[in-house]
Amino acid sequence: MADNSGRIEIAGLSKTFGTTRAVDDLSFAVEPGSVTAFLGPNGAGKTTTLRMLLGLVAPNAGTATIGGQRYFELHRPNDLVGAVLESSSFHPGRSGRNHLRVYCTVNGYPDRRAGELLELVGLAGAADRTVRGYSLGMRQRLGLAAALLGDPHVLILDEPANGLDPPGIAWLRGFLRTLAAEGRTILVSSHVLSEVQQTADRVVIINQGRLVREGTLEDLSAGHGQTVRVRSPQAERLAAALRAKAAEVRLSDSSELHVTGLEAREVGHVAFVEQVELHTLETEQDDLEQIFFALTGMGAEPDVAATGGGRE
Amino acid sequence: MSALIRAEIRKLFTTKLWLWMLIATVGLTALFVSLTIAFDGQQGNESPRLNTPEGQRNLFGSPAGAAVIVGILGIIAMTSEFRHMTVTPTFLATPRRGRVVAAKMITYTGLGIAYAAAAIGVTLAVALPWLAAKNIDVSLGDNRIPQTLIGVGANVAIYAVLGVGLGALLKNQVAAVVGLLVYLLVVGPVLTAITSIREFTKYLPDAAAMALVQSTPAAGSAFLEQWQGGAVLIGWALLFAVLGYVFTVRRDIT
Repeated sequence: MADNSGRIEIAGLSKTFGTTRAVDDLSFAVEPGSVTAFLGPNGAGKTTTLRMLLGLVAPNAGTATIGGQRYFELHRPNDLVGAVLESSSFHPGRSGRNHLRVYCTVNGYPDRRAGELLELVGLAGAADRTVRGYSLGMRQRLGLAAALLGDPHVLILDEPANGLDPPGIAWLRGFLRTLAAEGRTILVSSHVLSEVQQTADRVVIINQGRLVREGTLEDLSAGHGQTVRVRSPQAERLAAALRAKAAEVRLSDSSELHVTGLEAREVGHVAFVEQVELHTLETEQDDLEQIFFALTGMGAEPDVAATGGGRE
Repeated sequence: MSALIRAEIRKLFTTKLWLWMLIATVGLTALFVSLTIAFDGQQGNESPRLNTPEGQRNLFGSPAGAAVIVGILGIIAMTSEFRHMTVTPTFLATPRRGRVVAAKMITYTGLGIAYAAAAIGVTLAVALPWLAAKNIDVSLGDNRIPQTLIGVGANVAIYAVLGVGLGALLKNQVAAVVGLLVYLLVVGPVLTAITSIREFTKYLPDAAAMALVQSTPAAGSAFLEQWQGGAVLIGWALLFAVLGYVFTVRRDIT
């Protein structure tokens, strides 16, 4: 897996549905062997981007390639790429095992792969029941099994945790970690950062079809500094002294300060020099979720997130 | 392509629909043949008598009714992919979508021939002893009955392809099935019954099918030759398939 066969490259990708610009000149890359979280609010264009990458939706401009080839140029694509895009793409009257066997036949894999994968995702007990009776969690597992039939280097998952109950999400998280540890390239979309935070090496954040941020999780928190919260009976005097040190200071009431640009240690020192009495001195770390909300405008204006874009 | 066809066969036999449709084919054919023989020569029945060549060709052409069922199977083969979203994994495995449609057409041609054989078997099993009991002479090698039976097989097989094409075009299962039934049971027969416009209506799928099985309606003739009927019917099937490919199958799967 040292080769570049698993590198995903999105270059200048655009797609318009009617008057809605779902994806707008989007470019990013996913390096082989990494787990990348593809984040954005509902309607940001994540699904459309993934479907263009997989040749299901034709872009208006730009290219999306896997290992340098567009999806339809791949010989037997299931050998290289596995994807789960919907929570249920199964015929309800077909058993889980037979669903997998259909795709074994298409790709020339031996039938025993179906049994092996059902075992792997924990569906062996339900393998010969029709999908009609499967819960949402079981369907999600069957979808993953189908995606993994060809033991692909690249795994693409669109909102895999949608509709799963907490035990299902926990299982999925562990399963993705196992797959990542095997060195697969995983691109997983989500509108909830915490779902993928523990698995992802990198994040790509989009909003309204445009790239907002690309990088590691550490990159994401850097730049969005920390805030030091201070309570003091002489807040105004301390504020003046801190401003003199080029810190940004906000008074939330007559005795509370929020300081950015200085560390707690430095704020304490200024207070000591000024002989100001302190009641509280603590660092507040913005969590990633807050940063994500800030970048995509989800937290501040929930209405925008609910209606923005419209199409996924 | 052979892997795709084997996959389509597997899809077909891993749900129960094929079995119910086969039972329906056998049951409806037996019923239709029984009614044809029972009402032969009854007052008010203007169909040709069973002791005439025309009457016998009509009788042995009746398993062509399986075309309706096989046509519905063809429609479902394509539309159920869209309905259950299996179209996503199907096209992910085979990004050249035309090959999927072609594999379905080939698979369902075979299915059509098999269903036609079952329907012909039932027809012979019901008709031969019954006609013998009524002292009506039947020689299966004469009166162009072999041509009719071959026409039945071709007709049913082509309808399977036509169903796949129609399903690809309309994508919506209910719309495609209802559309086919309304055409075959209402629109087609009404148009064909108007003899003055038959010069045009003889090219419609149901009239082409009648030419293909060499059946003779109660009112008038002026249908196409048998081979022409087959060619026209194949033309309709391919037309739907090409339109379906251009306007539906190639489109974005969202």
